[in-house]
Amino acid sequence: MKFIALIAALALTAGCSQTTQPTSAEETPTKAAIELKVVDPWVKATKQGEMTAAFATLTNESDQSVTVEKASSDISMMVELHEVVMKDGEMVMTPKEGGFEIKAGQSIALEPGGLHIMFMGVNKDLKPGDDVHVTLHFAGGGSQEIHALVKNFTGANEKYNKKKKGM
Amino acid sequence: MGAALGGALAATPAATPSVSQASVGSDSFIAFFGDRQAGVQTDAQQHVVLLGIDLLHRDRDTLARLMRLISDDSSRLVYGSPALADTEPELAMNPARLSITVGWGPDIVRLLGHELPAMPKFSTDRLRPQWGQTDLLVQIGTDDMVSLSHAQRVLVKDLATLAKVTWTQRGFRDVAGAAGQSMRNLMGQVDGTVNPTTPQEFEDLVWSGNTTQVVVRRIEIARDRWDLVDRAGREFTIGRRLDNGAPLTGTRERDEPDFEATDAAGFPVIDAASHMRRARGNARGAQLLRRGYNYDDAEGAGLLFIAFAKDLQAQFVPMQRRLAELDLLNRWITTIGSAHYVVPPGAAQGSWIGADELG
Amino acid sequence: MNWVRPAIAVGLLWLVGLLAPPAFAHAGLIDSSPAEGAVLDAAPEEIRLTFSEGIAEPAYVVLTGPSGAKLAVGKPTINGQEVSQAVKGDGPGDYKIAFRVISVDGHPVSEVLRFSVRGNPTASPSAEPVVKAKPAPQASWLERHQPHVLLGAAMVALAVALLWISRRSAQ
Repeated sequence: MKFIALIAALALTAGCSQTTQPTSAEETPTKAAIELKVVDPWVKATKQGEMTAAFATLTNESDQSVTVEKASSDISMMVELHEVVMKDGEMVMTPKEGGFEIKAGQSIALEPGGLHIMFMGVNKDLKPGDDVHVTLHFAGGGSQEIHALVKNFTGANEKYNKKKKGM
Repeated sequence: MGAALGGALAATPAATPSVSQASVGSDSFIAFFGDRQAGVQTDAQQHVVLLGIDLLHRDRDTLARLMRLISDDSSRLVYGSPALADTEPELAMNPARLSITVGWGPDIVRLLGHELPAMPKFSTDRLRPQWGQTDLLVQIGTDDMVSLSHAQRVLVKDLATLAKVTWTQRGFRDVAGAAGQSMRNLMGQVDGTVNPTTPQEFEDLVWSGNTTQVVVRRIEIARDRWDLVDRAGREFTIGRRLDNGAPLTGTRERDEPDFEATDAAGFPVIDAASHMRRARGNARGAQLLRRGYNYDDAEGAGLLFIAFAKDLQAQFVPMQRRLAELDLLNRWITTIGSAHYVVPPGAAQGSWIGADELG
Repeated sequence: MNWVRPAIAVGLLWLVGLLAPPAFAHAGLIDSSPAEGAVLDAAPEEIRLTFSEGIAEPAYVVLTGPSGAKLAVGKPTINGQEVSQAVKGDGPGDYKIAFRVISVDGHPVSEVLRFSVRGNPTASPSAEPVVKAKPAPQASWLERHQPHVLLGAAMVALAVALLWISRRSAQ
C-alpha cells in the first residue's frame, strides 16, 4: 500500500513540474514562467554606427505583473528601453525609468512616437528584410528572445534626449 | 523542359490546393499562406497591377530579403491588417479580395540553380524594351482601387533599397456576368471562354507540383482602325458572336465550335484564319489558364494577356506561333511587351515565399 | 412667315440624310473573268476577280469543274482590288466559282459564279483562236457611284437654297 502511494506521489509531482513548450518561433524562454506574447516585431533599417529602434506589441497573458528591465542584442553594445515625452515643447525620447512594466492581462505597444527599444549604435548595416534577434530581460529573472524583421521607416523622428544621469 | 523546374521547386507534394476563394463583397479573405500561391486559381478580381521588378544586386541575399519583405507585407495586407510600419494603416482595412503573387524570371531562376527556357521571338511581335523581361513579377489583384493603391505603395516602398520597379502595368475587368459569362475585352469581345474549370483540368494544365509558369504580354489594339470593322467583320475575324461570345456555329458561349460546318458557298462558317480557329489548332478544350485584364492609359489601350501553364514551351509557344503565322485579328493587334516567370510554391504559415530555396 | 426658312433648311437636310451613303464601303465584286453566265470555248487558266475596294489576306477561290474536281492550282494572288487564282481545266460543261475574300475593313464577301465551256470535239486550240468572253459590261461610273452623286447634288441644292433664302431676307 505504501509502495503504491509512493508511485502515485511521484507521478503527481512529475506532472506538476512539466514545463510549457515554446509556442512560436519568436518565443524561446530560457527559464520557465515568464513569457510575453510578442506580435508584429520590427526594427527600423539603418546604417552601421547609427541609432535605431525595435518595436512590437507585448502582451502579458499571465496573472502576475511582468517588467522588462533591459534588453540586449548582438547588433549593438548599448541597448536601452525608451519612452517619448514632451520636453520644452517638443517630443524627445529618453530612457524609461524602471523599464517597461506590463500588468497582468495587459498589453503595451512599442511603436514610433512611443515606447521602444533603442539601439545606441549598431555594429553593422541593418538592411530591409534582415532578421534581428533581441533578448528581453525580465525583472526577477528570465529572458525571452524575439525575432524582428528590419523595415524602412521614415516617419516619427523624435529627438534623442540623453538624461544627465549616467547615460 | 520547364516541367523539371516545377518538380525541383515543388518542396511539398501536390495536396488539395489550400487557397480559399472569397466571393465579391464577402467578408472573407484570400488566404496568403498555403501550398500554392494565391492569385492563380483565385477568381479574377476587378483590378490588377503587375510590377516588373529588377534587383539592384542580383544575389541570393538581396533576393531573400526582398522575398521576406513581400511575404510579410502580403500576409498582413490580404487579411485587412496594416503592414509593419504602415504609414496609412487605415487604408489596409478593406482588402476586397486582395491577393499578391510573386514570380521569378529566368535570371532569378538561374541564380537558384535551375533553368527557365527563354521565350522565342514571334514574327508579329513588336516588343518594346520598356515592357520587357524583369527579374521578378509581383501581381496584386483586388476588387477595390484603394486596396490596390495601398498594397502597391507598401510593397514599392519596402522594395526601394533592394530593387527598382522597371514597369507597372495596371488592368481592369468586369466581374463575371450573369450565367458566368467571361469578361469582355476592349474590342468588345467576350474573352477567356476556353479555360480550365475542373480541379483535374487545373492539375493537368496549370500546376506542376505547387508551382506554375506565367507569361505576361501587353497587346495593343489599333482602335481607330478597329472602328472601321463592322459587326459582321468583327465576328468573322474572331469566329464568335459579339453578343454572347458563342461560336458562330453555336448559340451559347460554351458551345463546342463546329469547324466542319460550311456556308452556302461551301466555305467554313468559322473561317480557317479566324482567331478562335487559329488559337485552337488541333487541341480539344483548354490549353492553358488565361487570366487577362484590359488596360487603357495615355499611350493606348489593349489587353494584358496573362496566362498560366505548367509548361509555357509546350502549351503557349505552339499556340502563339500559330497565331503569328496566321490570324485575322493580327491586323488590329500588336504585342508590344512580353515577359515570363516561374511562380514558386506558396509559403507555410509563419514562413515566407521562397524560404525553401533561400532560407 | 419666318418659319419658311428653317422649314426649307430642315427639309433639305432631311433629304440629304436619306441619301447619305453607308459609312464604310465593303468590297463588292465589280468584275470577273470569266463572267457570270459566260459560255467559253475553252476552260480558263486563271480566275480573276475585281472588287470595289482593296482586299486583305487571306482570299479563297474554289473552282469546281463539271466532273466535281477542284481545279485551283496553288494559292490566290491578291493585288490591291484584284484577286487572281491559277486553275486547270476539266473539259466541257458547267463550272462553278466560289470565292470568299475579306475587305480591308475586315468584312467578308462571298459569292458563287457559274460559267460553262462549250463541248466542240472538232475544234483544236491551234485551228481556232480561243476567244475569251469579254467581261460583263461594267456598271457605269454613274451607276456605281449613285449614292455619292445624289448626295453631292443634294448638298449643292441645299447650298443654293440657303443662299437664295439669305439673299431674300437681306433685300
